[in-house]
Order: sequence, then C-alpha cells, then structure tokens
Amino acid sequence: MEKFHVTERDVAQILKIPGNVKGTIILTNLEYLRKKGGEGAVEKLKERIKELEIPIDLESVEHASMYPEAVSVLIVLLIKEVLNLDERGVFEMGQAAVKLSPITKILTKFFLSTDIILKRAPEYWKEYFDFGELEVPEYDIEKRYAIVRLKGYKFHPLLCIYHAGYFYQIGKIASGAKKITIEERKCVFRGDPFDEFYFTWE
Amino acid sequence: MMKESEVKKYQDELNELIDYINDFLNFLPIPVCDLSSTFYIIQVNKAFEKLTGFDALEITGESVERLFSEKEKIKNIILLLQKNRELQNQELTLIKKNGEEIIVNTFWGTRIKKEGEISGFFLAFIDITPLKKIQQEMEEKIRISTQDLKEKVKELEKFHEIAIGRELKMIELKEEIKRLKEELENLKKKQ
Repeated sequence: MEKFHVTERDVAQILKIPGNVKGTIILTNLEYLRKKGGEGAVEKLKERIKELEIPIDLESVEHASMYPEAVSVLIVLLIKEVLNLDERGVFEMGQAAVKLSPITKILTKFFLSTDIILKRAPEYWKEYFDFGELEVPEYDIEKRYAIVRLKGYKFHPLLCIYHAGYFYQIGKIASGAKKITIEERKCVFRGDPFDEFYFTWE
Repeated sequence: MMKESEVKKYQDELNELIDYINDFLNFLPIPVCDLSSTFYIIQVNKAFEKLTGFDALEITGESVERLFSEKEKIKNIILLLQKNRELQNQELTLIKKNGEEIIVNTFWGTRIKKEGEISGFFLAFIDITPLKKIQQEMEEKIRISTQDLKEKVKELEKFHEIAIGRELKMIELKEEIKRLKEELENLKKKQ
C-alpha cells in the first residue's frame, strides 16, 4: 500500500470549504487514534497539525461546541496517515465515532427502531452539522433496504468511506440486525450530484 | 431564532454536563453499561473495561447477549424488562474477553421517555465469584460435617442396639433363673 500523506495543498484546498461540525466528532476520532496508536500517535498528530498550520488547538476542543468541518476532515486524513490505515481502518474510524461519542448516547431517541432512525435521519444530521442534508428518499422495512442520500457535502473521497462506517454503526444500534450491508452507489467525487448509500439488513 | 450568545451558553452547559457524566461514569468502581432499546451496548465505563477485559471500541455495538453464557435467561430478562422498570439480583455467568467465566449479580433498569416509550436500558453488575467460592467451600464443609455426623449417629445406633440387646438378654436370663428357682422350689415341696 502506498504511504498516504496529507500535503499543504490538501490543507489549503479543504480549508476553503465552509461548514461546521460538533467537536464530539473530533474528540472521538482523537480517542480512536489514542486507542489504536497510544499517546505517541496523538503526539504525532499534534506535530503534523502544527507543521501543516491547521487552525485547531486539540486541547481546547469540547464535545458540544462547533468547529470547521474542514479541520475535522483534515484530522481524519491525518489519523489515516499516522496510523497508516487502509480503507477498512477508515470505515472502522467512522464506526468508532458512533461508539465513542457521549453525544450519541444522549441522542438515543433516534435509535428506537430502524423505522424511527430512517424517518428522523435528517434531524440527526442537524444535531451535528450546520450545513449539508441527510435524506432518506426510499426505504422498505419489510424488504429490509434503505437509500440514504448525503447532499451538500464534498470534502475528500475518504470521507465517503468514513461516513459509510458511521451510518453502518447507527444502523446496527437502531435495527439490532445481525448483518448489515452498505454500498455507496453514487458519489460526488464520481460526478454525481450527491453521495448515495444503499443499506440492507437481516 | 436564538442569539449566538445563547447558543454558546447552551453549548457550554452541555459540555459541562458531558464532562460531568464522563467523570462520574469513570469514577464508579462498579461496571455499568448503557444499552439501546434493541439491547445493543452503546456505552461502557472504565470499571466495565477493567473487569471484562473488553475495550469500549470492541464491545460497543455488540448485543448484550454476547457477554453472558445463559442466552435463554437473558431472553427472559429482556421480556421481563418490557413490563418491569427494574430487575435486581439476576445471577449470570459473564464471559470475559480471555474466555474466563465469572459469576456476576446483575441489576437492570429501564430508561423511559416522557411519552412512556422505552428508550434504552442500564445494566450494572458485581463480580460475586469470590463470594460464590466461599459459599461453595462452606457448603462442602457442611456436607463433610453432616456426613461425619451421620456416621457417628449410625455407630451410636449400632451400640444402642447391642446394649439394648444385652439388657434384654439379661432380663430374659433373670426370668429364666427365676422360673427355674420356682420349679426347684416346687420339686422340693413335692419331695
């Protein structure tokens, strides 16, 4: 696998994109890094943030406060770089954001059933982000499938994998299903107008 | 529309609340976990990680059934929790990450929303394996003592049987002597 490396050009391009996210996402990604790579990996991330002049002080990030999504995305990319993660690892980091966030635990009202999470997915997105939209244009509980669309979000292709992991974990908790599959059928980085994920569960 | 300062105030309060919950959960020496309405683990504390050996990352998102060996009993607990708000002292066998089995006393609570709908569950447990071991040792000691006592009683009964038998024989012999004496007296009188 070719070594992934975040460049100054990546930083400059991503930082131009507007939109904010709750700090809990940054903190849980940081916790994932700590669990996988220890304190040494966290220090390495801080060094890279400094080198690349990314405008964030990790020590002062708080769960419910808002931060630029661009910074959060750059942290995901840097974690991939520090831990040398493959796509599976990025997917797992997305899952971990649900597993480790205290805000997710407070929002259990969304996880009562597959039906409720699918109906309330747009609201759930708004609990975290002040931009973009999450839509569920089609689903069938009997046939056990759902289509989820993410609109107005275009930062980096790796975030599609991260989001797939995130949505997978939400689906697992809400449905209680033993097996869930998720496939990205449309992607803004392939010229589609939005990202579209197709879910099935058993 | 809320003012920016108000939003900031609420965010600060929420941050403080989250910090408080995290600090409190991690302070608790008793393993606790938060379960979804579908009985999936959504949060564990440090004591849980320490006792079970499972890291939050690997156990969160798993079904609670994975933790215990008595699958049928868990199904029954799940059914009972739909009616009762809490269940106490449910003894179960917990399977640690390394495969070791320990006996735990479990306590279950239901989280109810304002509308009366179940939004999730709490689970706490205490390792009672050392207590169970002491109980088993005591039971074994009592069993051995009872066995000893039974044997002693048996010996006493045997002794009692022998002693009583001897006594009866002596009475019988005394009566025989008495009878013979009477016969002898009668014979003497006839002569």
